[in-house]
Amino acid sequence: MEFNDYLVIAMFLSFISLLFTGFPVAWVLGGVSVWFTFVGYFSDVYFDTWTGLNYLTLGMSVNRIFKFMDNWVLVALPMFIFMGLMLDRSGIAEKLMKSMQNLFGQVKGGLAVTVTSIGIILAASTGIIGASVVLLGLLSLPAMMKQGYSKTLALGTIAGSGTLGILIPPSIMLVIMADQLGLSVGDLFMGAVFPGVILGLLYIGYILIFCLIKPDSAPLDPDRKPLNVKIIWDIFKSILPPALLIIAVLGSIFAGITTPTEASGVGALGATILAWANKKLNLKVIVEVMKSCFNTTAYIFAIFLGATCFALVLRSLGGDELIERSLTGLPFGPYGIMLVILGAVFLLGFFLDWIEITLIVLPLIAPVVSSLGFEIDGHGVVDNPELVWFVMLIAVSLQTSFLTPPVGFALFYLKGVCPPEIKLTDIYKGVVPFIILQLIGLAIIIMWPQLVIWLPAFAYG
Amino acid sequence: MDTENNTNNESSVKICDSLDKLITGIGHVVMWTNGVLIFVIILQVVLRYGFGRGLVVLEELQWHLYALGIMFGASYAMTLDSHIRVDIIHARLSTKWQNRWDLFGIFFLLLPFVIIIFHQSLDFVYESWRVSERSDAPMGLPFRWLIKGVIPVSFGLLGISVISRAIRIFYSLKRG
Repeated sequence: MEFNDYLVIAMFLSFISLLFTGFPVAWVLGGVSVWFTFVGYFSDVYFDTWTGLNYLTLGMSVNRIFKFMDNWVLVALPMFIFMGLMLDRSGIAEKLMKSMQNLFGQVKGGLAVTVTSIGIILAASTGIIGASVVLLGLLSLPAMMKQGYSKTLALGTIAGSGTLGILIPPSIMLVIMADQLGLSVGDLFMGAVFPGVILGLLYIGYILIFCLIKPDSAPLDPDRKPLNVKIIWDIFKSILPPALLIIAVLGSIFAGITTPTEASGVGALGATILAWANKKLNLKVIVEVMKSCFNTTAYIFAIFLGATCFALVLRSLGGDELIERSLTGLPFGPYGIMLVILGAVFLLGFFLDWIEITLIVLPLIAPVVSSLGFEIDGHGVVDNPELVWFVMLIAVSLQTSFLTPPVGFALFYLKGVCPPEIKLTDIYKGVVPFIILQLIGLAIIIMWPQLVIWLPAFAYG
Repeated sequence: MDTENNTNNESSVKICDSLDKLITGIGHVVMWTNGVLIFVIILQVVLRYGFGRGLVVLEELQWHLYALGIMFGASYAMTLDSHIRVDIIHARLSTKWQNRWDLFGIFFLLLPFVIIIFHQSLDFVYESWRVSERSDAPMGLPFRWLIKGVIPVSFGLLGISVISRAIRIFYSLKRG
């Protein structure tokens, strides 16, 4: 090993250990890169090493920062965030909950199925796990408890459904991944459709089967009304506006009519109109949404700032080659190496959010994945099909990681909105089956890459 | 002695209050860029798909607005203390230790980063100003240095919010 390799390792180690001081991730990244630049520079001057690092290396990060500002794809990010925040306040979720409960309330476990369905529909809205878990928790936990659901089933359903949002389009995570790996946002959005549907169906299937086996864990609502035309009509009325919005946004991207950026602006306006139609729009709501959109965008981009500097220094030291060499040097086949990568991402997900992982880790391992020689047929339409497939695997692994005790993010967000008599251990017990479902979903996508590739290939072909 | 310390505390906190007010005030103006951005995108969509022609100016305006939002946000989020932390251990520490680590982070990690990027970005903007850089597109926006100037300005504001925070932490540690 050369001096530069030791520096790379030292850089990663200092980054990880400084993270645990609780200082904001963005600034740990920035600070560590500054320090290692100076270490490299001084050892070049005094110890005859060749790191090539100096003040100009850091100067290049200004160019990189400007590349983030001058970026057409990422303009979609604040817009999708705005759309999600506005949808959260539009009262759509409450309406959906009420009307769908009337329909699904006819079967045991119906309420849990409702929660999953809303999770899928509104997944479009957030992509920020915390937000969707909190929304679903506040909305449905009291209802499920009142109806006498078992705690574990209720909690597991909420945590699981809340994390679906990072995968299901228009997920902001997929926008950033597309930007980082030079993939098409449309390909990723379409590629995520079947994996998202499969996970949703696995969840719903599990809930229904579980409730057949253990009917006591999900009793029927004693006040349920018999199914009639009016209920169906109510559901139709409440599901139509958000469905139209999502179809308008995704459909116009998929049909190639608009760019993702334009679609995101249309989505932001659409969500505002929905809030207005539900009489939830007033100046206070607008100001609040503006504030939290500004704030959320800011803390995401702060990590861009730190990570770009970190990546620059790391690459100058040959860190990307070191990672490629050590991964491809592993004595496993391509699938073995892929599993090692997914395992590492899963572990990182315990203490890093998807934002950091997407910005720091993904660009480092993507070339390795490309070089592993997975032969996935892109039907001559999808560029880099192996990367599109790989992004979905990463997304599902991250989702699983956020659900996994003892430190998954979703669990803590959920704990935050639970009544005090619910213990963290109840949540832990609740998520176990959903973690297994996630792993089954992951295995399905690994075995059949065409589940990811087929839709974008078909649509654009 | 005690009274002197107290006035010291109060005046320094007053400075912090006005600095923070400056940052949040700027934030509350800049945050509307997202609203304007929605409007510009819709306008562009209508022009392109309704009237068959989009305007290059509107396209460039989109990323200019977005860039303002993302860059000025950093100082705003700093003042609100909403930057993402890994709080597995942090959340279990006493306030005193949390403050100590924050002060350490500010001086050894954040400030060096902010100062260096600020300094380097001055050259970057100056160079653009010197050659009167403008958009590559003939119909694009002029004054490219203006949007590039957002980098030093936003890092300057970030520096201000960091210093205000450092003063606050320092005095709260001193008070014990």
